[in-house]
Amino acid sequence: MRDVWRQITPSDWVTGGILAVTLAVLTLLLPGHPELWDEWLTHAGALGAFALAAWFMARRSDWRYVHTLRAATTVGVMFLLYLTLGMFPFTSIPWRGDPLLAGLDQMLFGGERPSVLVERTLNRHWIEFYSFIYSIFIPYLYFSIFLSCAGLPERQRRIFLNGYAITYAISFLGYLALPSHGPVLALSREFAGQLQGGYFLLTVQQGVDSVGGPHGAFPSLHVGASAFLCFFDLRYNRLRGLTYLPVMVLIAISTLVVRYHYFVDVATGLAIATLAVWLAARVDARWAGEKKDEGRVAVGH
Amino acid sequence: MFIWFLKLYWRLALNIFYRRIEVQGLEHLPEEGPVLLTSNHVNALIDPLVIMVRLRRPLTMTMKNTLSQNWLLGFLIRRTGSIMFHRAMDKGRGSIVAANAASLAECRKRLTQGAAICIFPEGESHSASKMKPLKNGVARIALDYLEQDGNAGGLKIVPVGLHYEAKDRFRSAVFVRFGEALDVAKWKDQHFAGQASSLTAEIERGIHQVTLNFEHQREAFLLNWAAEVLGTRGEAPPMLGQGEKSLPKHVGLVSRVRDGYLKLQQTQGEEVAAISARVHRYRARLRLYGITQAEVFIRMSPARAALFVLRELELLLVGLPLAAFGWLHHMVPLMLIRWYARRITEHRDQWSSNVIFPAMIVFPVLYLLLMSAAWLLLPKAWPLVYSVLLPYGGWYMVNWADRVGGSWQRMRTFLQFLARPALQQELVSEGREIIGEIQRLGSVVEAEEATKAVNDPLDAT
Repeated sequence: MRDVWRQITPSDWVTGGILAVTLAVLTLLLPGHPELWDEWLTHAGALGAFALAAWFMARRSDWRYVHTLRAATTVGVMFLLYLTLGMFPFTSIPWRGDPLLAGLDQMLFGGERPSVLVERTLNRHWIEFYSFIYSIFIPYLYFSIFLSCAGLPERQRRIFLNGYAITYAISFLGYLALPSHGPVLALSREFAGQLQGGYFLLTVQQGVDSVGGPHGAFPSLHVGASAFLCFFDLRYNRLRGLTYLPVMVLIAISTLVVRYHYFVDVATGLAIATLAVWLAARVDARWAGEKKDEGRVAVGH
Repeated sequence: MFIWFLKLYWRLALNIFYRRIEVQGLEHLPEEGPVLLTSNHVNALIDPLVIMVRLRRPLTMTMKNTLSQNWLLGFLIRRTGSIMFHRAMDKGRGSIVAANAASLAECRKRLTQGAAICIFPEGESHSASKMKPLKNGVARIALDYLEQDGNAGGLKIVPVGLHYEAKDRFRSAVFVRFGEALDVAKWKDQHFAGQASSLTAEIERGIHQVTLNFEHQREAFLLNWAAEVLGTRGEAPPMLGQGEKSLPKHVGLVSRVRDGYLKLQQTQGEEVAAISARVHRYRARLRLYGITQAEVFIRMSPARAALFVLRELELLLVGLPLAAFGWLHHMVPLMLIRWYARRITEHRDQWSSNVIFPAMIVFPVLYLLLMSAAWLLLPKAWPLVYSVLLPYGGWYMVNWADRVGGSWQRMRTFLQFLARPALQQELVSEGREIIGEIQRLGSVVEAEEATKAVNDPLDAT
């Protein structure tokens, strides 16, 4: 039994952990919000299924497709949480992070709002360009996950999943602790007008609306996840990191342009990504080292 | 401050010209106290720079005096406090051998101040397969320091081996190896009557330990190829951008292959000749098809091929705009520098010096001109964007071009093997047999060594 526990990778612990935290928050909110019962069931079911999958992967760590399963379950859980955390915190958690975040932005920018500042420098074409950049995040994310999980050596694959899970887990804690809509809703009266763009702006807006509207402003997962992917690549697949570094910078700017994030969200996303890359290798080394100490050859060593 | 900036700039320039500079044995170099670093000399002005940029402690360089006739080098020599030596071979070009007495005295003076001095005891840079006979200058400095300056601080002599994958090739790799320090006072105690010539022989032994030396260039090529085949272990190469061949490991492997080769030539001459001929033929065949040693063993799997295409195509397409930007801005000056280097280079070991030093002037001037133009002509934040993208684009272009070259090479090999699967089977089979034979001969060497140790332990050590 002890052997099985030790075979559970750090990314599995983090993924299961954030699911458990979310379930715990739902459990606390349930008495006052019985409409969250479906959410509670969904997350309880997801936690149960993930725990089963993690146990299976620990028992059968030498199975040929264990890495594929691990990647699929981790990404699947994070995607589920991304959808659900956009909804129930806004209906059941009484406070909003927008005033605090907007205030912090003002403090950092000498009384100005970065999104409002940015608005003054843009025209329709630039807004469309940055909307295109904002929308690049999704293919960048999933293609990177595919390449990292399918193409990298064993150890680096584990480190990638560790970092990915850490990035998302910390960000989701932010979603729970400080549910925020972002400047597009919270500061709508301060902008000169609606964003004027074209096809890509419309696509971005429809995409955001389809997952419950602007939510999860703090921290910016657009920035956090793309920065993690970029920093990870800079360390383990340098040319790809150098290729996407300018893209990552543009994504960060685009989150301000399309008004979905405060500057503080962007900065926090960057900080989380930096931490995730730093932690991911360390926890893996510790996990693999612990397993080696037992005389069992760690997977991938 | 100036030296600090210069060191940083040289480090940047070397890291651009050479893809990787690896260092081993830095723990042998004392952090303080007088040290003479004695190195092989195969790459003109680049050799002292490669050593210097890797050290935390300041390094005094020694140069031939004729370099000071160049205005830039003369300026750098004076500002960096380098010590100039006059070579007998430069007599008609301003060299006064008698002035070396002052240079030797200056070396000893710096040593009393605890300096680390880098000297190339061969006296000249070359492209030979083995070290040239060492001059006695280093030994004389050391013994004089011992006898006349009281050996303040305890002088050490540290041998340095410089290995270049291809010293004149852009984006090749470098390996700097520091050997065990020789305590001069202890050596003198053990060799009481030891003269400069015996200390020179000891220094030579030290440098030999950290360098590769071959009787002939043919032997150097043969043993390098053999080590390359052996290094593949008959396994598929790692993906591009991952697990790049380690030059220190390769050098270590070449060293072991060379030692075995020399030992077996006496006892298994025919077998050695046979495997040498086989390695030659194998290599010739690979060259004919344009295939590298490692790529013989690529896995012909459709899934891997698809992944390869996706990965490389992504980098090619997404990176192309930035690489093109870098290329547009850097190609013309690069071509001019290469043209200039071709005009002034007389020997192969001068090439990289003749490229790197001019580049260190041309590119900053170019950047200054372009950025000034950008700030004058472009509106809003564009000058800042341009100023950041200009050097980034250049750096990116260099890395992107490396990768595209590797992708093209691998794709060509894959397509060749796809069209001719029998060819791969033959090459794989031949490659593995060569590896097996070299390993078998390696075991013979080990067995002979073991037998010697049993029969005569003293002799074996």
